[in-house]
Amino acid sequence: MNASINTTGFIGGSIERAPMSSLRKTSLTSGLLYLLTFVSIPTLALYGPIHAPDYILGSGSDTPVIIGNILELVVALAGIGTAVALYPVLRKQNEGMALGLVSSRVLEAATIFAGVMFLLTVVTLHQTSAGADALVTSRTLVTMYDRIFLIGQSLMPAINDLLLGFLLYQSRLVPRGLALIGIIGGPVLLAGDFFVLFDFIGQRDPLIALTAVPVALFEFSLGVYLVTRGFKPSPLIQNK
Amino acid sequence: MKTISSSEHKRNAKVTGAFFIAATVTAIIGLKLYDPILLNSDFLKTGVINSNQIVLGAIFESLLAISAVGTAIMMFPYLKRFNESWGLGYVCFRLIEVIFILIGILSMISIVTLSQKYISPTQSDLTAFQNAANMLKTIHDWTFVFGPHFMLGINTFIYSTIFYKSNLVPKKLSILGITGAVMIFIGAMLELFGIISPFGSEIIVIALPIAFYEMILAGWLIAKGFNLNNQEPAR
Repeated sequence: MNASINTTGFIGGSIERAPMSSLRKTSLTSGLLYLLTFVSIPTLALYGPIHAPDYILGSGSDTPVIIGNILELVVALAGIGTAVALYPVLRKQNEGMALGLVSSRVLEAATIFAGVMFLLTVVTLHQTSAGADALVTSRTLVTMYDRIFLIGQSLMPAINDLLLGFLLYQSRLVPRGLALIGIIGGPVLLAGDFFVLFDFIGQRDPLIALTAVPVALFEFSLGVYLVTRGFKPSPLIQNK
Repeated sequence: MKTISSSEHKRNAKVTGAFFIAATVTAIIGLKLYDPILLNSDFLKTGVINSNQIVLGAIFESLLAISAVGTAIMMFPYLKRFNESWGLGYVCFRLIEVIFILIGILSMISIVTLSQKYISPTQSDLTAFQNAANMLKTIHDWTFVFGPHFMLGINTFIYSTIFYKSNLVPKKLSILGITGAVMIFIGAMLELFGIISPFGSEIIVIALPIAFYEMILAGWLIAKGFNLNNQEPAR
């Protein structure tokens, strides 16, 4: 398809298993976007200060929080990017599920943006020296951030990866073992979220981080696979 | 793809243009009606005096939300012909812009409710109310930065780029759109770092090209419609 599209020199001399085409562009783009969604890892450290109970009273710098916020914005945008980039291909497998993936990515991004807004509101209160009067409101906002994080960046990825896992498993666009990690990782993460929601485990407990490992592994290896190898010659794209 | 007649294409373009005009008009009226809260430091009292006006503002903002989604769903079939992923990306980022607008509406309406309780004589802890209302107003200010500035920049950039590549509208018009989108995005970044205020005069100047663009685009779509002749085939 699309012989007119110039792809020379696009991936250098690496292995081409599907015919070189806009498909390779799709896999490369979505792979890069998947890798980009990992840039928010430093926020764990960057958001340390704002979680201190008396952050609003102190004179600490707001810059780490703002940098963390920008990283989260990048993740939200890249997250939507992965879904819309894959959509034209995944649609051929199951249009409803592919659109579902786009939708849940949009919901995830919405929660990320709302969370960022809560933290920026704390920053504004801090910068305007709202002082002790704003102690409770700023704690409220940080709590809202933590909770929306749980719904957004913990729960939604479970749904995203379940949908994507199924679509990739059925379409054989990537090795089935890889797709299976997503299908297994989704429910594991979901279980972890419910443990936190019902207060069996703290949100910052190492055990909870462990429930996110399969999903993270799935998304990271998918990113690497799509960037380095592209799609497998699945029946879905071969008849083109 | 289902073939539709040229009169339907013309009608679709007219509806799209009408949505763009509706979005701009409702945005301006809504913001103007919010003035008592946005411009006064004493807004808890002014909020209750003008409660009907604020609610009306919220209704206009809701109409803005509908019009903004309207532009996205009307344009998607045309954008999709050229690049399905980017067309869908435009819809997504429009939706995110609208989600911010809706969160802003909730904050404003909540301030009205708070201010109605605030003036009741039984209320003793006035500072707590002040703080809560202050928080809601700050949230509204941030929704403004992220929705109609940051996200508008991104989604306008996406559809204008598709316009540019596909010649759906004249190239000069799409270049104006891309310029306006980049400017409003930069404006949002300046607001993010606290360099300019989201309601100051600087951002109005920065937003001029995109406001201008949307109005010319609306007029163009209503008068001439989409140019469907020299497009690439659907992928």
